[in-house]
Amino acid sequence: MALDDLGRIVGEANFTKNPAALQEYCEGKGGCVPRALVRPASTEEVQRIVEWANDTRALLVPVSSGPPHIHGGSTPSVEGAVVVDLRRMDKVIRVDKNNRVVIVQPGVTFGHLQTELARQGLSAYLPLLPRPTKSVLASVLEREPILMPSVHFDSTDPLLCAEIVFGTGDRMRTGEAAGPDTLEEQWEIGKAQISPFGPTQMDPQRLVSGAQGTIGIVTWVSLKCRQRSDEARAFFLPSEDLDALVELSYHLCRIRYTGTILLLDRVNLARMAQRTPREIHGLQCALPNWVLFVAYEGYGLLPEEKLKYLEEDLRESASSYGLEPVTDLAGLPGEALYRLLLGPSSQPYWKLRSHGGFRDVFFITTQDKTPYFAKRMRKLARRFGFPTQQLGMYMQPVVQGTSCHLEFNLYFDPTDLTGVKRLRRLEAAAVDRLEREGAFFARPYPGWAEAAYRGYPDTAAMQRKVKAIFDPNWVLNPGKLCFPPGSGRQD
Amino acid sequence: MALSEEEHKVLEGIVGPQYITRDPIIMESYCQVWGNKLEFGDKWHRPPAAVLLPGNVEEIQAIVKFCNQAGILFKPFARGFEYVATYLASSRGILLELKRLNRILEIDPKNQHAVVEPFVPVYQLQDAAGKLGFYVGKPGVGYSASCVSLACCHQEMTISQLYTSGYGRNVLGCEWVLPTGDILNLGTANRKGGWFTGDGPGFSLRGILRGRAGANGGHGIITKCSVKLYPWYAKAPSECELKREPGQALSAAQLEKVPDNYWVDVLTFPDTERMLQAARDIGQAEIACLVAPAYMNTGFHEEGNDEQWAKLKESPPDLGKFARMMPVIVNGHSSRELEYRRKAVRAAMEKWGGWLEPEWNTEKVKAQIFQYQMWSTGVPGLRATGDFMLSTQGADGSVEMQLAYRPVEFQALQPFAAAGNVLHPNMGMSYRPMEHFSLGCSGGIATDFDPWDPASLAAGKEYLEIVYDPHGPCRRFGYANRGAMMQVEDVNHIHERWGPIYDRADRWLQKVRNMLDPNRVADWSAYIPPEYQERPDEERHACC
Repeated sequence: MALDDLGRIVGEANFTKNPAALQEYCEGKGGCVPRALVRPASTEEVQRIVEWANDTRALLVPVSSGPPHIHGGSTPSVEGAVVVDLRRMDKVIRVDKNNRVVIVQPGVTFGHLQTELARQGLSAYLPLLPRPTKSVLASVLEREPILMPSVHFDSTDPLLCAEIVFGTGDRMRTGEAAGPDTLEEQWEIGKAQISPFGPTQMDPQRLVSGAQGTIGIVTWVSLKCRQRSDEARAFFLPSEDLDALVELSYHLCRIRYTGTILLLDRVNLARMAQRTPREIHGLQCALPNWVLFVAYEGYGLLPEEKLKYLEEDLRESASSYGLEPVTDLAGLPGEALYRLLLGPSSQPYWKLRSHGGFRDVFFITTQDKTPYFAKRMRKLARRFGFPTQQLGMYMQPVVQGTSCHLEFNLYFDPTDLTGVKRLRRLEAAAVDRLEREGAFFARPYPGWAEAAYRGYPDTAAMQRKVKAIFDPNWVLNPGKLCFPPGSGRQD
Repeated sequence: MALSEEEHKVLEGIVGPQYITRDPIIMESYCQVWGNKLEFGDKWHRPPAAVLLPGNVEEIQAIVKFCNQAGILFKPFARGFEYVATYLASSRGILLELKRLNRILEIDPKNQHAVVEPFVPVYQLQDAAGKLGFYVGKPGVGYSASCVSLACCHQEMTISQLYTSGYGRNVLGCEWVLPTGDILNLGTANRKGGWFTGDGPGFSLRGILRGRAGANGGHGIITKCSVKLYPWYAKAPSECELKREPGQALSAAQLEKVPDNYWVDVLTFPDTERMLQAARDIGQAEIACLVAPAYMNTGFHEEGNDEQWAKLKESPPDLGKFARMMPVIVNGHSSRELEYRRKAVRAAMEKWGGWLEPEWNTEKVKAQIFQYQMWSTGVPGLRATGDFMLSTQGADGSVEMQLAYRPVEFQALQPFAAAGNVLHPNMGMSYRPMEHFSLGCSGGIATDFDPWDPASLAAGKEYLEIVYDPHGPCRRFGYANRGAMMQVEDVNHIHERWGPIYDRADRWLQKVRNMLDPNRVADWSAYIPPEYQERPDEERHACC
């Protein structure tokens, strides 16, 4: 079977070997140029592509988001791969208002989703200002943290059910969606693809969560969403004392304070709120070092009373840590920032606004370690001559505050080649050093994987065995996680 | 086939002579569990060849490695409430009772989790955590259930899952002795930095740890687990004063009032649909720590077994009303929060045409409900006959699906109820919402039967066969937990029967099982067999 057979599966218009078209897919950390691009429109086409890959021992790299591909999880790590671009599958399959469940295909972006959900008075659970081209499905599978820790019960939230084409080409639906019927037939008896468990004694959707496409290609997911209300309150809690803000964040998580809770430094807050380098610089200079941002909506029962008691509780809680909520900060209204957080970033993507380039370093830890890692990262930045005013920080409590996503953002000018070299050394050193000090790189993208798996040989060994079950010919996204290029293949 | 003398000596050498036995009288005590009559048609199930009480993970590893060498089947269990804990697929099998692994290793109040060993029961952890302001949850089987078993190996918290989540979603890392004897630490378990997540690096191996149900000891031994804790605004159970009337049994002792910072309302609705709609509104508003549609029925039982038996035979009329009643418990970290939530519950009640029955909203009744629903008093249904039947343990899903499913299961039960062969037929289906209703709810019927009455026993078997039949009326409602909590595969063949119509989920599970256990030494009877047995064509046809 030849490469050109792919054209017969998806139609010639959706298959190309044109180098110019392929260039987009090798951007990102160390990406290789693929040899072809295929754009399926259905689960059946995805299955046929995977079966073709098994027959020909070709290598497939699934991609759901548009460029820029930032972390490298969906850029080919080996030469000669075929990119499976899923963006033609861009339907919001169903919005179930009563059960607050939405089903989306891989090509649905947050902007698209929020528009569809708003018609039903609903909202998605969003990560922090995703880029406009970001696939909702990819974000969820990557376990990007959502902004509302009180309803983040599990690391996979808001993922419910999924349809997966494993590396064997077999299709499986997970949770409640598994079964003898089509989705439409399931809806007839009231099924809503709301229960994520199993089926039975395993949870296959967890195996594709954080897998960077190495176990299966996911063709739709059902997701939790929430009711939306125009009545919202938003507060900044500014401080020069990071410890005090972390303590308040702990407290709010512990009492399951509803709504958005996140901690930012002024470097990031300025980039989110402003557009031009000059505006960003101006705001950054006017802001305090650290800000806890808290916002909530009046959805649910008795909205006015809810808004009132939540504000009074927040003020009381904050005062016990010597903090005071304010609705405006350096001319920035809290409600305006909150509105921004209800959708994707506007263009240009907020992380590109000040210098045109950025790198992220993020990991899971506990909130109390935030001040330590913040100091450590600044020290490392200084050691590598990286300007600390271009070092941003974002801390997101996750899984109801039992841990947090801690992210450092390194803003740089991509035309300054000396600076770029320095940045790369800093990133590598930071991953290495912080991992040794307890940072858990749960999402090990290219360049981080070696350090991330260094202390986890048992996990790596088991993941290889699992991979051998679901992708026995190792056709899916070689070179990612603990699956080095060329290893594990039977041919 | 019993163990050889040589094999016994090797095992004895690992744990010491005081921690191994093969005394037939003691073996018998490990195979006499409720449910045997229904599942196996006998008072006993197959006894183990020996029982061992390992004292640490190293001993467990040594035992498991020897089982691999000698081809001995093993099964671990912690508190051993159900027959799936102690039944073995072969007479050449040993049980590992984990009662010496009984420590709470850590409670981290800041990061809201506890690390425990398998014999720690929910009560022990609840009491310790309650003193620090945390709640574990209410297991349906009672407070003596093992935290580790609930989180990793079996079911989970059932009715408290609106607030405490469950079915494996509270696992923040665990130490797992695989069937090969090797150790796998999930997430950050046993790593520097703490036990704060069970996922990664990379994809989450919790996907093979468990699903809707656990492997019931079928894929190794969880020796430590970090479980998530939830806010608690009252005293720990042991600090609460429980009172009883003179002459009453100790177990009758109860709270006199609902603790401060909590509020209980018992709502009554005109019908099931409106009850469930109100439940969903309250759940989605994220205000309640418990919403228990039709869960009154399991909370009110007589103190003595004989009185309970008499009550069952009477089939009291209240049960029909109980099926439309819904206890709701809210809490508040502040008086403002409690007051808002209390009013919000009443608003939902009024919206759906509900009311408060004075008889069921007295201080005493509310306190009793709080005690039962938040802390658990076990499975009262067991007391009358020593047995009960969990029917399907539910279809999981939306309110709309539950309303469609309800008549299906009632219709299956109806002929047996009409013949008087199942007790308590009017109890109704009860519902267990999850995570503010964002995962829907489970629904199922718990039915009492009399294992000592041949007609009742036969009715129970026939009824179960209907709900376990993949070509029967329950076919479209899922096999997420179609026996996966309580099935014995060599008796029910649940996976073999249901897997083929559920995206071949059984085949993937079987592959995972065989990967984890290449020498086939972990007991698969309540998990999945390494391969399906050859059986006569007509029997296989009936299965598939």
